[in-house]
Amino acid sequence: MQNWKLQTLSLSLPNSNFSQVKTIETDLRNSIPTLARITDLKTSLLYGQFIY
Amino acid sequence: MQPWLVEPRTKSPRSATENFFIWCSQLVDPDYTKKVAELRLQKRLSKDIKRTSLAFKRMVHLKEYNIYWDDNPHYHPELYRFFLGPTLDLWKDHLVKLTIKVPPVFLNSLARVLLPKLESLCFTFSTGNLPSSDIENAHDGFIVFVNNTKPTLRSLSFTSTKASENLDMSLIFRRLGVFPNLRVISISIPYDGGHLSNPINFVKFLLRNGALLRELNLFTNLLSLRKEAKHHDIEWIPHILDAIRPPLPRLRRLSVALRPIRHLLDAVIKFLAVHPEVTSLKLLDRCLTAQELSSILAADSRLAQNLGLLHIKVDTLVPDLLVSIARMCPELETLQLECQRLRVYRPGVMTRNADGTGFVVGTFSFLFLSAVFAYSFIAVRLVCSPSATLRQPYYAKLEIADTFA
Repeated sequence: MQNWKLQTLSLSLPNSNFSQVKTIETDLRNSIPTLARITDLKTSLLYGQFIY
Repeated sequence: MQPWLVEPRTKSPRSATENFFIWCSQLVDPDYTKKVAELRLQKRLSKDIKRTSLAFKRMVHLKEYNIYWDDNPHYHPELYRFFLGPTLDLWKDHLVKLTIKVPPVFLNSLARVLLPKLESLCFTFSTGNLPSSDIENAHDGFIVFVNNTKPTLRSLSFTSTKASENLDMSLIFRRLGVFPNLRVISISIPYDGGHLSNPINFVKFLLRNGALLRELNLFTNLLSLRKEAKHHDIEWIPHILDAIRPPLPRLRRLSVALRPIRHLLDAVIKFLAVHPEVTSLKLLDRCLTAQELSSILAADSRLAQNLGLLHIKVDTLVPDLLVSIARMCPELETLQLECQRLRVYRPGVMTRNADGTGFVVGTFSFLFLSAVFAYSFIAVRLVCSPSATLRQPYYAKLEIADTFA
């Protein structure tokens, strides 16, 4: 995972609130260093825009 | 542009003289008030068209135009006539992308329209309960129009609405010619295949235009209202994929609905085996298991290595899934996941391996407990309130996903 080149991950995560999404985001960013964007598949908004 | 409904206020008589005049007029012509109302409506429509026309004339460099009908049977033909022929003539020298959904009766007016710069055409068939012969007649002019765009057209997208009871797009594809610059072909029809009685007509159209084709999209939408089972080919997607021979040499992007849901995946696997250069793969509609995903990506050893974008739907988001995708698709830049639920392991357990692979899942345990609590709460609510609305589905909007693909 550390060597993965993934830059954008779009997730559709039903039944999850922003806090949960934030937790997942942290995990993903720790695991995939190249990850630049995590977006909501349904709205195409960056999760960061929700949270901060 | 969505043509609107004009509903001018009914003018009531205000004086005894006016009342008397109307009464006398109705003696002569019983439909007098209706005619006056119609005249008033026409006056208002003319005014609206004049204003819109003035605004349009200022948009001299317009490149994209979308005209949309909401399937409402009550509409003003005057507006649609104006928003098709004259308006398209106005912008013909610059128009690059055109999206059309209009009542079928206006389609023949497109026959004389020439758009020498048009590169992208998105058309929605919405024929309601028109009989087959009327549908064919109504689309004569449209087919002429589409064939006239062949020197420049690069992207062609057809969608049908489920309310089109007697639509058969096989007849449309049979009458479309060769488009030497076509790069993208998309169709979206009801998943039961009710609007494509003969998928081979579509395949022949594909092969006629397959030399430069870079993107193929086979989408599904809601179940059709067509009643005659003879027109249904429920396996239309596997049949299309099986029939595409020889392979499309330039194909790089594939979006395909994995229908029928419980059908074997052989067709898509075989198709990908002969198209290993695909760099963008979207597998829609069906939740894949890790094993099914591995089978698809293993169709050819080059496929997984080449992928830059992958869109899949899975039942459960588990860290192992991401680890598995990372191993199989090292060059992947964009991953789009539709998930039904999360799965977690024991609290505090990390799955990261010594070599750096793996995934942090400790926090997933907290989410799992939260989800269990939430489900329990919802279950109690549902039991206590039978009319409670079930949670909405969470299908991804593909067109939105495309914006960041």
